[in-house]
Formats: sequence, structure tokens, C-alpha cells
Amino acid sequence: MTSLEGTVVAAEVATDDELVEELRRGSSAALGELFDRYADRVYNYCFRRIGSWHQAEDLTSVTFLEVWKIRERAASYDGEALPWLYGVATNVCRNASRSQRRHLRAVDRLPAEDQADHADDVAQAVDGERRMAEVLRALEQLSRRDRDVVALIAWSGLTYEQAAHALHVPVGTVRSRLARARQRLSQALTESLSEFPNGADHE
Amino acid sequence: MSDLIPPPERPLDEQTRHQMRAELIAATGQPISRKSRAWLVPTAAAAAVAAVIGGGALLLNNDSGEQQLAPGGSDTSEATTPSSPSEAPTTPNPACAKAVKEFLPDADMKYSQTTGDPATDVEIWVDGDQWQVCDTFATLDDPAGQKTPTLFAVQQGLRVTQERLRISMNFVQLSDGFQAEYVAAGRVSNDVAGISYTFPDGHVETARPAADGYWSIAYLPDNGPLAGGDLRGVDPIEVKVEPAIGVSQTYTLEWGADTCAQINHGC
Repeated sequence: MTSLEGTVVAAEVATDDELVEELRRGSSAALGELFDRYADRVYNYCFRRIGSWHQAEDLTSVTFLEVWKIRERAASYDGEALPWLYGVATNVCRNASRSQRRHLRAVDRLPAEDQADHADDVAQAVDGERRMAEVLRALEQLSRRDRDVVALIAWSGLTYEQAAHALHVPVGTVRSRLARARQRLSQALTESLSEFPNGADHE
Repeated sequence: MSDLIPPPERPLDEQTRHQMRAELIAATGQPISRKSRAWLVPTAAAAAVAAVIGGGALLLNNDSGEQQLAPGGSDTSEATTPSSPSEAPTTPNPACAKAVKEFLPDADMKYSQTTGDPATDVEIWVDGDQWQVCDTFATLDDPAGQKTPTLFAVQQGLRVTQERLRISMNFVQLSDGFQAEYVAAGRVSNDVAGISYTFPDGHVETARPAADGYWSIAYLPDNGPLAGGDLRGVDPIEVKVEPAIGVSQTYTLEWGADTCAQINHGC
């Protein structure tokens, strides 16, 4: 890319550690860069907690606004800002639980014939919400804290250590919560958890 | 319920992402640091760019690879003096090449119009009697090259309709907000001598179609609500299609309905 003066301007790529440090100092540029890098991840994480694409958009916004509000506590883990961001998103999504339950009931009532009237993209979105509603309903037998661990480790690919950092609990607590989740779910469901990279016990 | 595998992930659509980001930064009460963006166009340069584009020039890249500059209509509303215009590319933008191939695998870039500095392109890709417009402006604020360019729907035929005159609005992030670009392109019959877009700020973009009917316009407003894409209370765009012989026909483009010609990001 050429600047007005005709010299090549190299794109600067800051590390997550650098961005977190700048964010703690109050840099909105760092916030914007973190948004650029991780908005999609947070968006999909929120969707998997709530089951609504539209609400996930709102929750993504709220998450990053919250990130700004508590920026002095921003922290990276092993050079990554994502675990901390997921931690913020987890708290944000918890507060949306009441409206989530209303939405799940609404999605559950959608007749399958509705999909024929939608464009492909919308149909896929509706399919996704229906699927997510089923998954979330299956997890209702777990405690909220156990669901957090499933969402972070099985679905979002965090390690036990990263999940512990996100949730501000010891690693041992994360392990025991995941183990408890497996005990309470059926064997078939437990096996499906193992299909994710970090769904099985590992060191 | 036999497993706990969630549905596949989806990305935020680009327009939502832009809007969300703008609101987020606005909430911080701070402008974005200049060093965090590789593309910034100071106001003076943007004005010069608008004047270059306001000339309505359509740079042609014909089948033999020679470049011809087909002069367009005159800009009657802004008499700014252009700086040295950016050279139009002789090779297609790789992002457009990749994006268009998904719709028209055998298409080649036939025409391009350069916009701005750094330069971006409005490219017209053609395969037989079908064509597709690709615009790279919105990728300027993505040095990592992960954003897709803006695509119009694949078109065929020469009939002039309101739908075919629709604008695509594209955005890039600046240090103090957004810069909007307004693009339209297509193909008409030899009966059409010119197509003029009058924007609510008084600016006029005029295109003189090439011999085979292809045309394009691109407008980068320098200031005012159109520059940032704030269209609240703004008058609609008027498009005048001038025939070679006969009476002109005017179309009114409504914001929203007629300013979302792109097919690969939201409005």
C-alpha cells in the first residue's frame, strides 16, 4: 500500500500482549484492534450460549463495551487476549439468560414449513438456531458453572488453563466441573463432547 | 438429541461489523489513533480524488491490453482542481479475481475505474453477455487482506431499469469516523448516451458508456453527511439516463432500497 508521499507503508501487527497493555492504558485503538481480531469468535460464543444470532450480535456489542469499561483489569494469558474476552462474554451472556429462555421457547415453536419461505442464508440461520436450541436444552440439566466449562472447552477450543483464566477459578475446578458434566449427561452426549479438540481429558 | 455439536460458526456480516465497531469506538469518546490504520486520506487529497472521479472518467482496458481514457461528463457542482490522477491497474485486483470466479468462473476483467489514493478499483468482469461488478474500496482498511471486495449481482441484458441503476455504498474506517463510497456500474444499449447521478449534496457523477455499453461511476464525498454515510433526512439520489435521441428519463433512488446493490454484505 502506498502513502501519499509514495513510500510503502508497512502494516503494523501488534501482539495480543501489546494490545492488552495499551487497552489497560486507555487506548481505544487497541480496543478496536481487539474487536477486529475477535469479534467473530465472541459473536459465535455468545450464539452458542444464547441460541439467537440476533441476540448474539447485541451481546457481542455489550461484551466489548464491557471490555472497555473494565479495561484496567484486562489481561492476556500465554500471549492471548481471547481467554479474558471469553470470560467477559460469559458474564454478559449469563445476564441474558432470562430472555434466552423466552427465545428458546419461541424457536421451539417455529414450524418446519416456515423454512421454505426463506432465502438460503436465512434458512441456514434458522436451522442453526433450532439446532442450538436443542443443544442448549440438553445442557439444562447441568449447572450454570458446568455449562460455562462445556462452552469454553468443548465448543470454543480453550485449554483447561485458559478456561480457568477466563473464569477466574483454579484449573482443578475446571477439570472437576467438566468431569461432573460428563457424569450427568448421557453417554452419547459425553462422546460427542470428546470430538472437540479439548473435550477429552488431556494434560 | 444425540450429540452436543453446535451448528457451524458464522461470521458477522460486514455492515454489522462496521456499525458495531463505529459505535464501540464512539462509546470510548476517543478517535482512533492514526498509527493504527494504514489507510488515511487527508481532506485535501479526498477532495482532489472526488474531483478526478467527478470527471466521470471511465478508464478502459480493451482486449488488446491498451489503455484508453474515455472522458466522461463534466462535474457541474464542484470545481476543484485534481491532483495527479492515480494510474488505473493493467492487471485485475486479485481480490476481485478470486471473488468473481465464484460466480463467473470464466470471466475476465474488461474495464476498471480507479478511485482514490491509495487506489482502489471498480472493475467490470465479463463472460460473454454476462457481467459482474467488483469494487475493492471497502478492503482498504484491512491490511491483512481478509475482507472480500464488494460484488454486484451477475447481470445480463441491456434494459435500463431502476434496479440496474442502484448504488452500492461501501465504507472504510478513518481516524475520525467512516468514509463512504458510492458506486454504480452496468451495461446499456447504444441508445444511451450518458447516465448522470445527482447526489443530494449537489455533486454530479456522469458516465459515458463505452462502445459496447459498459459504464461505471464512483463517488467519494469529501465532506458533509454523505462522506460518513449518515443519510438521515437526506434527499434521494436522482439518476438521469440520456438517450442518443429523445427525452431523458429520470429515476429516483431511495436510500436503503436502492443503495444496496451489493450482494455480499448487508445494508
